[in-house]
Formats: sequence, C-alpha cells, structure tokens
Amino acid sequence: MKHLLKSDFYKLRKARYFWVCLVLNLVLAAGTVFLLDFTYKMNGDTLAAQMEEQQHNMEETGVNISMDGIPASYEELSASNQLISFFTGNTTLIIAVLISLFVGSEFNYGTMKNIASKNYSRNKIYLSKLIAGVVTAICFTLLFALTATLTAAALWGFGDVSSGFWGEAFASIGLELLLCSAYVSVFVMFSMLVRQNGGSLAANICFLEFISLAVMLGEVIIKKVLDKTVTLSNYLIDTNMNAIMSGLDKTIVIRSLCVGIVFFAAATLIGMHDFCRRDIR
Amino acid sequence: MSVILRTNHLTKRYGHRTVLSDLSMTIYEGDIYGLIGKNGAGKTTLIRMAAGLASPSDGSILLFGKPDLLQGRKEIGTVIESPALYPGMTARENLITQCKLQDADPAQIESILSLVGLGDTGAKKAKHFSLGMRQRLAIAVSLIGNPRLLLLDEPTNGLDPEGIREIRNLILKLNKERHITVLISSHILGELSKLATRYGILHHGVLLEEFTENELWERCSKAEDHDMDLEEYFLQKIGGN
Ligand SMILES: Nc1ncnc2c1ncn2[C@@H]1O[C@H](COP(=O)(O)OP(=O)(O)OP(=O)(O)O)[C@@H](O)[C@H]1O
Ligand SMILES: [Mg+2]
Repeated sequence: MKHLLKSDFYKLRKARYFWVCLVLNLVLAAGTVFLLDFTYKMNGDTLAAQMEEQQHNMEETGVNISMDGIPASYEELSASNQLISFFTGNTTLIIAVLISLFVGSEFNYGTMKNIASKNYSRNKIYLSKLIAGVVTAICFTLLFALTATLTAAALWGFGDVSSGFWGEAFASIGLELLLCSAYVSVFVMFSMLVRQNGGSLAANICFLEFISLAVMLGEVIIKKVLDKTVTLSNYLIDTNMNAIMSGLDKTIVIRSLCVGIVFFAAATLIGMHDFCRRDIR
Repeated sequence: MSVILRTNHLTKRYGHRTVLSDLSMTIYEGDIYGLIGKNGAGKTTLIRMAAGLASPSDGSILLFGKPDLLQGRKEIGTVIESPALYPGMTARENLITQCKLQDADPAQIESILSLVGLGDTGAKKAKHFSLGMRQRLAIAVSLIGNPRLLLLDEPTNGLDPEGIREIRNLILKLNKERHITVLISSHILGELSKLATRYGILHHGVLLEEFTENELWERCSKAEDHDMDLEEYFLQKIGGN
C-alpha cells in the first residue's frame, strides 16, 4: 500500500496537468479576492438592499439559501470574516478535473494493467487512488485558502476576531474538508466506473453542476404541485458547505457530518465493489 | 523441471459466449512457450487471466506451483496488447514509477535500459518514441523487479522485420542470461519458430495441441509436401476444426 501511494504521488508530481491545476488554483484564489474587492467597491452602497430583495425572491420560489454572515458593505470586508468562505467549494471544480485526469489516464494509457497484474489487491489499488485524491484535494484547498487569506489581509486587513473565533473556525474548516473529501470520493468513483479520462471528466462535471440543480427543481415542483416544503437539497454536499459558511449550530454540524460521511462511504463502497468485480482491459 | 504456470480446466465466458474452454496447460522453468492462434482465438484472454486482469469463469491457475496468485504475481512481468506507458514521462521516469510501485531497487534501471537498447533516450518523452521503442520500453517496465516469468502478448505486433528481430533477440537473451521463462503469443507460427521451445495452438478458445520445437520440425519434414512451410502447417491444424 505504501508503495502504491508512493508511485501514485510520483505520477502526480510528474504530470503536467497537476502543475497547471495548481497554478490555476493559486491564480483563482487571488482572483476571487480581487473580484470580491471590485464588486464591493463598485456597488457597496446598494448591496444590502439587493441582497434583501434576492432573499425575498428565493423564499417565494421555495428555495432556501441563507445570506447571514455576508458583509453588507466594503468596510465590513476583512480576511477573518471571509476565512471560512475561502474553504467553501472553491477548489471543487479543479479537483474534479484533476481526479478525472489522474484516474482516467491510468485506463487510457493502459497502465492500470501494469498495476493490477502485480501483487496488489484491487481494494488496495482503489484505496491508494482515493487517498492520493483526498490528500491532493486537501492540499489544494489549504493552498487556496492560504493564498486568498494573504491577499485579503493585504487588501482589507485581517480584522479583529473574538476569543471564540478560532475554535469555531477550525471546526468549520474541518467540516469543509470532510465535505471536500466526500466530493473526492464521488469523483474517484465516477472515474473508476467510466474508466476513461474524457468520459469521467464529463461525468464528474455533470455531477457537480447538475445535481443541486436537479434537486432544487424537484423541490420547486413538489412545492408547486403538492404545496409541501421539502428541502432535499439540505442533504447535498455543497448546500452543507455553504451552510457551514454562514455559521455553525448543532443542526448544521450534525447534518454536514452525516452528509460528508455518507457520501464518502457510499461512493467508495460502490466504486470499490465495481472495480473488484470488473475485468481490466 | 519446476512448474512455472499451470492452468487446470480454465474457462472464460462472456455472457453466453465461451471464449476459452477447459484449457489445461503447463509451462516449465526455462521454456519459451509460443501460443499461436488467429485473431479472436483467446490468446489475450488467457494471458489476462494469468496476469490477474480477468477472473476465470471456471477452472484454476497455479503460479510457481502455488495457488496464491497475489504472491506469485510479484514475480511476473507483463506486456499485454499495446504497450502501457505514461506518455508524458521519459523512459527512465516510466521505470522509476514501476520501481516505486514494486519497491524495487532503482539501481537496476540503467542496466535494463541498455539491455533493451534505450540507454540513450535521455529527456525524450515516451509519446515521441517510435512503436518499436515503446514496445521495448514496455518490456523494460515488465523487467523491473527481476521477474521469473514474462507474459508477452503479441509484442511484435506492428513492427518492421528489424524491430521484430530486435525483440526476438531480446527475448532470447532474457531467457538465456537471466533464466526468465516466457509465454509469448502471436498469430504467426513462423515468427515464433526462431524463438519458442514449446508451442500451443489455440483455436476458438480450445487448446488444439501442444508440441516441442523438435516435434514441430519432425512433423513438418514428415509431411507429404516436403517443403511445407510453417504457416501451412498451422492452417492445416486449425483447418481441421
Ligand atoms: N470483455 C469482453 N466481452 C465480450 N467478449 C470478449 C471480451 N473480451 C474478449 N472477448 C471475445 O473473446 C474472444 C477472444 O478474444 P481475445 O482478445 O482473447 O483474442 P486474441 O486471440 O487475443 O485475438 P487477437 O489476435 O485479435 O488479439 C474474441 O472473440 C472476443 O470478441
Ligand atoms: Mg490479442
């Protein structure tokens, strides 16, 4: 297992797409902060009113997105109050691309044959890919947050924090990283099922883009037809990522823990089961 | 002679189609076993099962006399169908990856590279290699970790006569100098005749017959048509079915 991981990390290190994704990640991190800075500078005074209106509209259509904790003016911006948002789903797309290429290429090149014909069980091969993926995703997320925080601190200052700030921040970051790992598990699963880098890229991006949309659509339809409010989307990974950003309470902590663990475990079990059962071409 | 690979009544079915049926064969230490069969005979299927890439529907496989295949696979090297390489890496980096995977000593890399004639490829990436070079690099990858058995599935496919000769000489050298047992498949009997010590003819998933090098020449010379060539002999064998 140790050797599988060593060779997986070596391959990542040697792959050009890895470095492209890393640079893109850092550029995006700084870019996000500059964009935020720009947005608030341009229409900081009307922002509060706009947000209120948006919130009202969404409630009418049955969609529930909280806007707590979003600064209402330029003066309120600081690195510390944006800290958790830097951990929230910013790197998911890049990681989806990275994992699709990392896992899919192994099948495209046929090199999975070299690995699977050695003395490693299929479960270990799968786990090695998953662990390499999770470690990479966490590093990417930490690097994104670090870059964004430094940029934000340079622009707006870090801001004063209360004594309880760091405790809650670490809990939130832990949960965000768990949910991020759950995404990784899903991406690895799709890539192992599809066994091709183009196809798994498509599958992973579709999952990312369309699942919340599909669930939200379902909710809206249920509300219109049955006049019942169900919030299926509460059990999606990215909803919980966003919920954590607007403050922790007991419900959110428990819910995101459950969602993270269930998605992670279910995807790993499905992916592993299929990988063990199917022949490798 | 110790047994390197043995299959007992090995069968592979895809749905209702039987692609390999009741195949029992034995490869002994030091053999170069030539597996001959036309397209779709089941050569790749047999090799993939021996390598652990596909699971048998029935029957069993023994590696080095033991049923513990996972342990046995430490000591086999494979090249199955097209050469499996990381195109963005150099020859050396491809071998380093395999060394890390198998916890093998990277000191062997240079000698393996010069053995397959790729010692001077330097920073050239595998995607810029010719097919012959990629085939040889794939064999180099399979040699990492000093395997006792090589499974080579049509390693000369698509090569020119010179490339074919290079691979042939390489296999002979590995067999003589490193005492590696080889299972090599091809659809051309003539191509294996300068190489193999034992043969098996596979046709529609059935092992029609096995014979040694000497038996092959005897049979060919005994035939009515004295200068009957090997391919005719092969076609005659499978024509009967
Ligand atoms: N995954 C699969 N599903 C269904 N049929 C398969 C599968 N893999 C192989 N076959 C069938 O099994 C038969 C044997 O295939 P195999 O690849 O072993 O032949 P081969 O002797 O290697 O042929 P070639 O010389 O063309 O490489 C073929 O008829 C093929 O269609
Ligand atoms: Mg074949």
